[in-house]
Amino acid sequence: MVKRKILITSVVVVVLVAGSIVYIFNRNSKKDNKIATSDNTISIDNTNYNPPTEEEKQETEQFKKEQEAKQNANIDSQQATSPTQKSGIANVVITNLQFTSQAATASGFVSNIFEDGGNCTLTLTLGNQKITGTSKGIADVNKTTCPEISIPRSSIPQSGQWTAVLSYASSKISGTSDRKTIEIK
Amino acid sequence: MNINILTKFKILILPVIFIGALLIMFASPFVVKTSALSGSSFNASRIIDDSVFFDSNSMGAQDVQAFLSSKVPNCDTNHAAGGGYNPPFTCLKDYRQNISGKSADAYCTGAVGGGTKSAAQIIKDVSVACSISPKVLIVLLQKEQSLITDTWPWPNQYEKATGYACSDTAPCDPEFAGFFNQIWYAARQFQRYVKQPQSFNFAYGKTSFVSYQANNPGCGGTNITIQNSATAALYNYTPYQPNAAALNNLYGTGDGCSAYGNRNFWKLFNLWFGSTLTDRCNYETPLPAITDVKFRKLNKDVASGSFVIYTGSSTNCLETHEWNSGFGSWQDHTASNLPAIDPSLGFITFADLNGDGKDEPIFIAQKNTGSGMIEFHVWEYSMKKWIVHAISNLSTSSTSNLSFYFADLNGDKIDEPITIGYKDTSTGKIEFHVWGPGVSTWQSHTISNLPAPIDPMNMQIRFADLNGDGKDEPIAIGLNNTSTGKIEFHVWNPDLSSWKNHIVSNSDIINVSITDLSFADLNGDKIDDAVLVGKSKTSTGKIEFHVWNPDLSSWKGHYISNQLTIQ
Repeated sequence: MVKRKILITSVVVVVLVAGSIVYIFNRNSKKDNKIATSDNTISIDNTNYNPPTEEEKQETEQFKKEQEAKQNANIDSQQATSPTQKSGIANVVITNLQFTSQAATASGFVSNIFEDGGNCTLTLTLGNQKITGTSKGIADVNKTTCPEISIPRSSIPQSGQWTAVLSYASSKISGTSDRKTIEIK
Repeated sequence: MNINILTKFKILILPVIFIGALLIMFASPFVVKTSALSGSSFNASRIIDDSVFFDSNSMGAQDVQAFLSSKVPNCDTNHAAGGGYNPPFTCLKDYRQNISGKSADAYCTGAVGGGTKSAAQIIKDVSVACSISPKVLIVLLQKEQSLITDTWPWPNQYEKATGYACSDTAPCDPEFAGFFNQIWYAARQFQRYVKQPQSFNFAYGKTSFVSYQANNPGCGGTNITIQNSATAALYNYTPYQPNAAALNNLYGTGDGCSAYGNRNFWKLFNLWFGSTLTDRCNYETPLPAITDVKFRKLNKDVASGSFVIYTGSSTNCLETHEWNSGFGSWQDHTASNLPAIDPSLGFITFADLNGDGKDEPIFIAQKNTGSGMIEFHVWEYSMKKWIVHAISNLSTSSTSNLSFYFADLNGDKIDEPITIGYKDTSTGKIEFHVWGPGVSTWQSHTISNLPAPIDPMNMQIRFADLNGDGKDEPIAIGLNNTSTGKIEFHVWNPDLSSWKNHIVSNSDIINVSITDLSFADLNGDKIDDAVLVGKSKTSTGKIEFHVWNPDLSSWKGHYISNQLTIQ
């Protein structure tokens, strides 16, 4: 009796196993073999898992040499000058300068300092006439950004080709950008 | 239950579990080694697309770890002292930091939990919290401090890993120092640029002056209208663009007015992760996938398998993807400028049109052309620009009786365009018509000795250089219903009026709807290899390549590719 039960159980299990295998095979052959996203498109991972190229290795070594040279130069300059003594000259760049019917606007950044709170000043000059506007500098990654300064048209006494400069001043550094011209209408 | 039965049950079940595990198939990641990138592809107004830049799901933490490990196969832990630092050195793939985490704020709307975490986990956690792609953070780490590939990084490289709060003229602000801080503040700053565009210099849609060089205003720059927020974020972070000298020497230095930050970001992203742009062709409804396998001399004188996606690609463009030798990994991916198209309207082929040993990609439009004639359109290498549009002297109404090929019949290293009439020919024979280079005039017409019609399900024609003499021989191949039950190769003499030889191969006949037979010189030995390509319904579920020896009676190799079959 026990042997009969074992035999029946074994047959049932074999049938179940065989059925499972058939099911799995059918599922694989019927399934959509696409590497598909939900919108039925094919995506292929483009990530480059190869080891670094010779160029990449050389670039890395070159970077390290430059870093070492910079560090040595910094050590030398720190030995040569007092730590509080800085060049004092802000490198100011104008990125936007335009005139709309409402206002003359300008923005830019100071490339050689990272700090909040300095004063950015836009100065428009025509002959003896001078108009200014200001904004506060923002510490931004590795520089100081001068957010947009807006001088209303009503504050500008006349139309014409005005000269514009952006200047920056803080307790540590000050400087002025190159001159640009702006047509005020 | 009787213990004996339970034991016997277990004995039966275990094989099932084992078999089940074997049956589970996972798609493996595809590795790409990209082809040479050109600086001429750099678009200063659109360096990277928003959907790429802000995709925090583009890599999982394990993917990031695998990537870091791949770029430093061997860490030089005990490198000699340098930069003022002594060994041991810790590479990024092994770096761990105990961080206190960060709360969510207006810019990073997710929090980062504290604890001791690997660099990979930190990158992933910050990418999720700040909605920045981990790929962007990886490239940033390399661009700023070469941390991804450095085999002996110094501690200070971790301290200023993304250059945040590090101006040129002062030490880095210690408030922002440390690997986690550097990554988090950098990612956060990118979001700050997006969410407060009025406070920063560059913004989507705004035209701004972008300098070439930080230290020399005399170098100038140009006005750029920035096309998206991600590109604006890159310029806000590094407010310089590469000049022509920097782009012309993409892997080296430019001149005294060159700045490399954004160039290197773009270059690294392309080389490591593929295009920074998600070009989509103009085709609204993604169709089910239609694909093909061709062969292409991507590199000089050596053919690579090319997986062609006509419809259903992620870019909705016609795409080609070339395998490395062995078909186990990718060497190139291209999304063309052609929207997805059904191959019955036009198909892609590859041929050497100028004798330089590399194939040009060619699209042969055979239906619904504007001219009503069969048209040949030749791409330049990247398949983003057309270099030739040629209208042939054949009407599109004739395509049902014709098949098209390219072959070098005269050994001048240039492939001629050929059309073969395989049914309804006036002579009742298979006819070969060779075009002149402009496909508007005929160079020759030859009536072969083979009766027409031939049924492409049973016989197809190929051209191949079987003996390395530089000339392709025409070959009629019995693929099904052969008298021998094997694939048979019947090689013509050049006059097409007589046979050079007949070879009965070692392969059983095939079903051409799922298996293709091609010729390609896979190893650069100047002899074309015959290849059976299992394109669908293979036993492995992957595209398979079976390469014959030159005798066509034995196999040189069997390759299971990394690409699942599609149809």
